[in-house]
Amino acid sequence: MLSLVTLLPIVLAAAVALLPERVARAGGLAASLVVLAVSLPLWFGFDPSDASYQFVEHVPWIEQWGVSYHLGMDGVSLLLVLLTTGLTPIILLAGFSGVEKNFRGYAALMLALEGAMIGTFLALDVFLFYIFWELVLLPMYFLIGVWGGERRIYAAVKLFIYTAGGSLLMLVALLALYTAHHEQVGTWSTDLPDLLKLSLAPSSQKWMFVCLAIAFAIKVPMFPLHTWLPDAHVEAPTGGSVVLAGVMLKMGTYGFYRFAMPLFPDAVVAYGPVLIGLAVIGVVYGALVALVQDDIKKLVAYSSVSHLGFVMLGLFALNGPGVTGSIFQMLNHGVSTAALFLLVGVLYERRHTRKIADYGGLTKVIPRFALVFMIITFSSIGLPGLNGFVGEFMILLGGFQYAPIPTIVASSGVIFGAAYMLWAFQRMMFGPLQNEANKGLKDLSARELVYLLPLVFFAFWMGVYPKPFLDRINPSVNVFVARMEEHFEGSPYSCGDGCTPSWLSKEAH
Amino acid sequence: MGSAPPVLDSVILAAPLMLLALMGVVLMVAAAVFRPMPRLPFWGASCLTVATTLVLVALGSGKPATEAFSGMLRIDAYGNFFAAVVLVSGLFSLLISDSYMERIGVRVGEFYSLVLFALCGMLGMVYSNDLMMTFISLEVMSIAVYVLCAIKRSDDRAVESGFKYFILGAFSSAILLYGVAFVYGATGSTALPAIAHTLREGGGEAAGILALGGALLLVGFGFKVASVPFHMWAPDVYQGAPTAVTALMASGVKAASIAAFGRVVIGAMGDDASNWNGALWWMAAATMLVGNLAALAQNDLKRIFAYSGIAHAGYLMMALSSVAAGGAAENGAIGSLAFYMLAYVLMNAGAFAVLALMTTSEGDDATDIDRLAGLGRSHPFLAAGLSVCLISLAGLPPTMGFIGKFYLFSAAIGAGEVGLAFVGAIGAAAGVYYYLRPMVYMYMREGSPDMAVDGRARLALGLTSALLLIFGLMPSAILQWANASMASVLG
Repeated sequence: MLSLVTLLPIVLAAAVALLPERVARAGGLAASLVVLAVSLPLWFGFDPSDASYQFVEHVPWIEQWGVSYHLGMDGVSLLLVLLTTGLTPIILLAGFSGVEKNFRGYAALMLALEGAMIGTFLALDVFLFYIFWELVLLPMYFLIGVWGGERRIYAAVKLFIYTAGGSLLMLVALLALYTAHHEQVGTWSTDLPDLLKLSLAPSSQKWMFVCLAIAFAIKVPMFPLHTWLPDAHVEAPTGGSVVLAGVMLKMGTYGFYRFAMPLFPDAVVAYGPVLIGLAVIGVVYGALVALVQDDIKKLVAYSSVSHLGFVMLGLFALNGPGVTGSIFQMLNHGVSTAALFLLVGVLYERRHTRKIADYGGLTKVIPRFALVFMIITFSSIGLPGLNGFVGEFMILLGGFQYAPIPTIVASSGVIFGAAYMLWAFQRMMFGPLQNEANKGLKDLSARELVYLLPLVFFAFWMGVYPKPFLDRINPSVNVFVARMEEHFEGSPYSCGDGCTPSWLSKEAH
Repeated sequence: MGSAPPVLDSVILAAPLMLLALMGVVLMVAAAVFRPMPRLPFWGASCLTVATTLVLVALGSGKPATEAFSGMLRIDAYGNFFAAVVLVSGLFSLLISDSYMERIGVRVGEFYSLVLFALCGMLGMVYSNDLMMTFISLEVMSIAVYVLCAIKRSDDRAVESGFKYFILGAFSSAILLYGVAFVYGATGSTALPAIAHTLREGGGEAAGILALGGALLLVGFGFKVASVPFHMWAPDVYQGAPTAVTALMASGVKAASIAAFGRVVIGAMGDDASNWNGALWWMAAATMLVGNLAALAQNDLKRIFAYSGIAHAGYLMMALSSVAAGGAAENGAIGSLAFYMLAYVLMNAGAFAVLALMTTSEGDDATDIDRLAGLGRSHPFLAAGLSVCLISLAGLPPTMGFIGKFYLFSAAIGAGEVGLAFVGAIGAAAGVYYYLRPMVYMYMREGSPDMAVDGRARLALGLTSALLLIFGLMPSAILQWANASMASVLG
């Protein structure tokens, strides 16, 4: 089942690459819809009350090394996989107008990317995880490098070098862990559950954690390793930006959640404050830089730095609300930032400019666009009733229990967030319609509505009734928090019973 | 019945070497008789010889290790593995050379004869169990390759390449020979097992002489594998030599030298770890860094691959350093050396198959990276195949290069060489940049590259890239074979 969801996109990618160009659009979209259809039963078949990995597939692969093909899914992977399979058809549908050359290559790479990302979220063997992690990079590199803007090659190479450099550090640390397993247990294994059983000296935990943390922090991206992100977003085609912000950045935070933190809990205690500090800097710095952008796409890119800072803050709060909120915020960001990039793409296709100053007064010309843009803006800034609020609230709640001062500083990010988004909205949508070129703008077409409305729907659903999502996130988070707590009784991170409010605990449902 | 005389036994055991030498002589004579050279018979005969030799090596594998010619050669799984690697490299070089040599206007039968002699020398190196044998085999290989470099006599750069390689190579051979002499002086033998025995018994008579001999050996081998600081010759020689010869130099010569180097480290001098490991560590670290960093600034593909070859020599020396650091049986350092060598030969063979097609209509090599622009559109097959080789060279999954790097790094960390693994990781991260550059040109820039048409080069590329992917996803069989070689050399 999980193999099907992981490998089907890769197989279909090869098939789409062989299609004739004139049916590539239909073929690519159909392929992505097939993958979505195959992934949906996971939602229904998944048992939210079970905290262990489900649909597990475990087959020996390279037996000499103890490497196995081990896939499994908990609530967090489930939601991230569905986010991936849900966004891919949207991206391809949006690409019908934006992608001017070689759609079949574009669709094939997008599908290959989808498969690799799904594999990253499902792999329970560090070797397998590393392979998928690296595989994600190649399609993304070509998507930006071939279909991107003017400085696309620079952006693609920068993305590649940053990520590959981090990955190599991660490889060294994982190999040290692998060797440690051999020393302690006597057998070779790259299986995550096996590696979690090791007890490592804090000093070795520390350097291994730093290696993994750098690799994941580049992907997140955390300040000060974020500089590849604005370049990549500005140069990427719309679909590339959507998948980059929507899913790829979550690979970094997911890496922290699934690997770096559970594997090295003592190092988390030691370096947690540093990471919280960087997360808060990211929140505020990202927001402030977003405030001064005159390019709307760059603004959205920097808003990602800020939002992902929130996610990291929640994760390192190490308590129920913080971590749950952080996972939920990963999904929110996937929905709202994806929608923002799509909207920017819609405007760019019509006017070929992303300068905020070139717009103004658009509400009068394209009211449907303005409405969707407004809803998504509100979702992004965390207006109650929409998805962003739930995540940010829980993160701040969790963060406040552990680190009040940094959390108060981070809350200013919410205000700055409202400021840059609303100011940008105001400059683009309201005011006098001065620019002649904007007077003939076409409003959203049926196709554009088809791919935007699902995201709007989710923004509402996750804001009004987040329970189905939280129910699936909670068991996984409980396991995570329990593992953290058992390692630091008595440390500032220990938070006891009062940590998880009753409305979040499992018994309440 | 009585047993056969031992020499005959030895000849049978060394059949692969004998066959190569014999056919080398036959082709040399034939080249003098048949002028101008009929292309197909010469090419066919040499391919067939190498393929038959490969079969002979394969037939010999699985047998227990035996010594031949009074212990001069040791026919074991380690030797068989590297012999197969060397022969695969020879086969791929031959596959691209017939039409390539025709394109550059060199139609001499001696070419094939020299390739066979070079391969014979390489096989001698990988099986050699005695420093004298190592030296003689190395000279057989080297002299053939010196001539091959300059085989296009009308081309000044090729002549310069051959001459440069010859002068520096002769110099380094002399240094190696000095090293052998000093080691002999200190231990009383040139046979690897005897040297190891003396060292285990508490070293030879004079520690100073032994250290000097060891240092000279390091310099000699360091030159042959193009390790920093003895790497300077490689870029110029690689660039000037005909591409088909460069392909052989970059893979076969390197594999044979590493194998011989490995035998000396593992079989003899490894016990003298205090002297060896420090030097190996620094050479490996410097080679990985300098090779990768210098490649960043190159614009000629052959020079890029020359520096890439230097960097890879560094990775391989990291494995040797892990061996010397001890616990070789535990950490699989020798297995990783063998596995990575095969991966390296395959990815280089594929890449050079494309480079061999980059000749101009005047018959000159033109391997500037610009000439790849637009290849993705005009020649999708070549571009895809070259990309697989480059991704593998960069050590990214799902290719054999990744499995090889994983193995190398894990062996190094298992041997406690975490620092060296970090240096390697930094080097490899820099390496990603220059391996991506050809892909940038092929897929992201416009151009109309003109490439020669040659089905056999395409076959070589298709085969290597397919093997790189297959062994990248299912490495178990090769790993098992590589690990068997590890067991045999330690036994």
